[in-house]
Amino acid sequence: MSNHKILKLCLVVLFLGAGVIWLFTGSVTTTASIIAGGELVTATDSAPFDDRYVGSDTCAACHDAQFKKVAGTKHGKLHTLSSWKGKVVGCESCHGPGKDHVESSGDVTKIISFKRLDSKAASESCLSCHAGKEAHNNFRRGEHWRNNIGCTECHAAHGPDLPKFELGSSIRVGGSSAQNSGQAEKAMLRASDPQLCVSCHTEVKAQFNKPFRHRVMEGTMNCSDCHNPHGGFESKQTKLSVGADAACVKCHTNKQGPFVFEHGPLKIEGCTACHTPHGSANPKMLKRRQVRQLCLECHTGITEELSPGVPSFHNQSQVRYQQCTVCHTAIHGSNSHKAFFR
Amino acid sequence: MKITNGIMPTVSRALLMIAAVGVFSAAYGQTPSSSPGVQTNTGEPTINTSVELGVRGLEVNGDHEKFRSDLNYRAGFRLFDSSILIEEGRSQFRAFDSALIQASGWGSDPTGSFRMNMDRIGLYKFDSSVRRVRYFNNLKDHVPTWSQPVSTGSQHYANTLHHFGDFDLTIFPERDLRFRLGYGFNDTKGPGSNTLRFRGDEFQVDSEIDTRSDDFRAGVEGKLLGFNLGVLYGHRMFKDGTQFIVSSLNPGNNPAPTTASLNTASRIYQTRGATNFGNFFFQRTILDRLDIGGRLIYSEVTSEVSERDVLTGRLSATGNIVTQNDIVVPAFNKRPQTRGDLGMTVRATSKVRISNTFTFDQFNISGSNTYFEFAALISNTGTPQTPTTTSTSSWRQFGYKRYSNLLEADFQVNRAFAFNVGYRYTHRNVGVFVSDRNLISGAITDSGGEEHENSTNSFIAGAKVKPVSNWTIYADVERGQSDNVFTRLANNDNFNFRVRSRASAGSFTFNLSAITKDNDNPGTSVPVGSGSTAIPATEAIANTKTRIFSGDVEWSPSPSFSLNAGYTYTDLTSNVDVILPIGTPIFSPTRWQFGSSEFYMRDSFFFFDVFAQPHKRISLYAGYRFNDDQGQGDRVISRPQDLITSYPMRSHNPEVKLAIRLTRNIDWNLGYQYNSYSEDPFTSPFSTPAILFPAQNYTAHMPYTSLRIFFGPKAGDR
Repeated sequence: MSNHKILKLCLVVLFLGAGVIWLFTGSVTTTASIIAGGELVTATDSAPFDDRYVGSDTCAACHDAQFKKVAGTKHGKLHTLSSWKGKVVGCESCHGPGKDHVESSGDVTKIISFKRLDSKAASESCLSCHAGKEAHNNFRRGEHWRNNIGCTECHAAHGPDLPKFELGSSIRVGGSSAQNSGQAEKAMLRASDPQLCVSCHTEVKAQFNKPFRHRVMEGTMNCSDCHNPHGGFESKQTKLSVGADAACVKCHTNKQGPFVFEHGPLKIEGCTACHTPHGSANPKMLKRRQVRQLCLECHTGITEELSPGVPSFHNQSQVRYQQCTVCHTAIHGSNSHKAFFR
Repeated sequence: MKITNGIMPTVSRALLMIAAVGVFSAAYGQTPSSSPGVQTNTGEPTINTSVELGVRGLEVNGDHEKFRSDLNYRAGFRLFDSSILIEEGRSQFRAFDSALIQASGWGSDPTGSFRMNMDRIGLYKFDSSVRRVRYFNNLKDHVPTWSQPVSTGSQHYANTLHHFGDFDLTIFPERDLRFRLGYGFNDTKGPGSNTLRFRGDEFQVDSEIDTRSDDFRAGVEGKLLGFNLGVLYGHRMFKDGTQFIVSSLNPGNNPAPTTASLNTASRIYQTRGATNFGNFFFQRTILDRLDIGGRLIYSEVTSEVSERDVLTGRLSATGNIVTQNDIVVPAFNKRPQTRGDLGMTVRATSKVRISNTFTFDQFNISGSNTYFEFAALISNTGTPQTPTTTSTSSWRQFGYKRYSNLLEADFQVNRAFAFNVGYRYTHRNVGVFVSDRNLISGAITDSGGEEHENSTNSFIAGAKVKPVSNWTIYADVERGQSDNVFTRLANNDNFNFRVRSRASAGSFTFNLSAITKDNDNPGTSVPVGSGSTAIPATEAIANTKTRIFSGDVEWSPSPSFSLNAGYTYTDLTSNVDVILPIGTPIFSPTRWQFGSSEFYMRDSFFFFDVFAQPHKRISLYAGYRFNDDQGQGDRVISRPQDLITSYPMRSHNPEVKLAIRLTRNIDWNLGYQYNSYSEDPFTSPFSTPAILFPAQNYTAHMPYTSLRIFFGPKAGDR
């Protein structure tokens, strides 16, 4: 039996086994917690609802603005769910029990204040509920985590302000003129997807202003169409699509293959071996102006393994042989010609 | 109409799904909890809407094809950025809690998008997007007709419409057992052109591009034995029915009268592809100290191809006429792929975390085809010639296996300082196996294949410093090897460094960043040539250096004024040793030459955006984008074996916009955009015949006017 068949069988058995166990066992809850000042504080999920908790209405007495704001969000509506019955919801689900804080007349050291937490500790609080979703599972090992960019840098847990209407360019936009000015954002984001990202990744904004580019700043695409800001197993936190293929294949479907004659770099190194996806002055977002330059840097005879040099009749003083893709049209892969002629 | 036909069933299906969700949710009741939650507001739905409809004018001077390839805006009606946010009250029969609908660019824009996100807490979450891209590409410096002294266009142009959409529904998103359903589609249609080889020459042929894919996804997620688990099954159907047609005499690229010509040609690709994949993931946080998560993906992609060519024309040299040339190529390919990932993070102390991430990827592509060709010929005097028949089969296997392990530790020293260090090891194996057979003679060409493996090591480190509460500095560095240089196969020695600073002071926000990337790919050439022109084994490198410096400032002193300006400088130099064949008219006979391939980018990008509201009824916006790439500067080619290129170009994009508040709910906008693009012409000094790619300069004036209509409590806030 081949490796792939064994793997397929394992997946099926795993799936069926999980289903069976599911049927015969009850739901198991976990205890989640966060770190505040080096001390572990249990805040949510199966934590007992005891007399240390005062309820959100008590919080509202002093924090009326935050109370009203969070009320309109999912965070403020969890108490309506039967599945959350018996769990701590409301302000104290994130900020911890408030009794000591109340009894000390608002002593900020007696409550979990996110302003006082480092970004990793603050993120741990969010992850105690949000870690189970596949997209979030790798946050603790992602680039943003590594660089101390926490959840609250991009998301507003109390709900973002509905932005004030402000004029902005209808083609390209800058940092201050929100792309969808005057518009709300999903996922409690503090700003629209590309604007939020380019506010740190400023060099990418320049790339998206090149003549050939993916239309991200125009709003047709989002950064999160290709990248997972919450981390992932792929380089540059790119997403996979259609199973285990590169994110590009989701839209560029005719490049997915498989082909009889594969152009190796396409599948092994990925599209970025030849293209610059954020933007380029070169046609087709290629890395070089001339196609032959791109081809010859690999097919040059420096090594012969897997990337043969061009044959000697490709006289480079003849214009004809400088236009590689005139003949090698099916450069992404061919089913009928080993030199990608068709 | 064709396009409408293609997309309507999809939209109908989507609407049906939305309606079903709405009905389902309306019938579903919730049980309020006695937990100390935040009490939500009761009452009527809240609607915040801003819709902008208008018309754009357009005048393009200069190179229209380049303008369309870059921007492709058209004159006419268009929908500007518009959104509707509806937040429902607490009615038991509400279909959703909130619905956010955003749309932009429909009408005369080249790209349009429609997004809808709606949810009802405890019941469902629905995210959807439908997008349209009007793609055009016809450039004078990309695949030109090589026999023309001055390029007039590309032989590979395209003018297509691309529709794509995604619909994702999660049922019971906040519960321990969740269901996920998804559908996506991709549709590309339109005319284009391509080149077709026939009897030693190339011919530009018209094509009708027609591809479509449909994706289906279904999965379940939940908690079991303390683990967050999920499985997802997906299926993609893909079809390509692209055709190439020549219906009249086509002399081909070679202008010589004795060379081949095509009278008629048709090529039909019928490709049917399918992808089936399963994705299993798990995650658990154990004892608040160990976070463990993993993923296993198995996918199997197949494609079944049937290519049929029917051609007639004339042969070169002999002048014989091809009265019938039929080619039939059936092919079948399969790619099973397995990806496994496992990540663990241990919180050793409250300040120290240690993580390990292991990834594994393996696939095998096996493909085979049978090539059958029949050609009937007559001489130019009408005498029948002996027909030719070719029949071959090809088999290829492409194997890839890679695993990588990253071990890292991060230390949160205090709230103001954190750093991390890590080490990554990667190993991979690539193999290609080739077998060709002549089905007439029975001769087999079996290369036996090639196999290559390599390993790389990298060290990473990073730090975050917060000198004061409103200033943060991030820095990270990576030193080691990367294996993403398939072609040269030696490991790519790299050194990457990145530092960012974000600071705010009063109404100012400052961002600064510097990025450097150094990549060296050492190698040794194989000996080529013979005699006095032989090139022995020589050390050869591929070297790329990138320097990016970027900064911007935001100043928002009051709600009625804001300024944002920034500058980014990108300096990229790539220098690659190459060995090229150079022949007549420079060398005869052709000889191999050791040269270099250089590419330069010296790009400055500057922008500013200003918003001002001098009067409560008047708002002003002004923006400016400037892009200037100096490219290779004064470097010129002095030897035929050197390739030195860049793309020196400049673009200016100013825009002004005036908004006048007519009523509480309506603004009248008047705007003007200008696009100026210029580039340097390009020629190859050692090319025969000399060919010139002329500068594709253009300017575009785009005035527009629109009405933005507001609804909802926020309408009067502007």
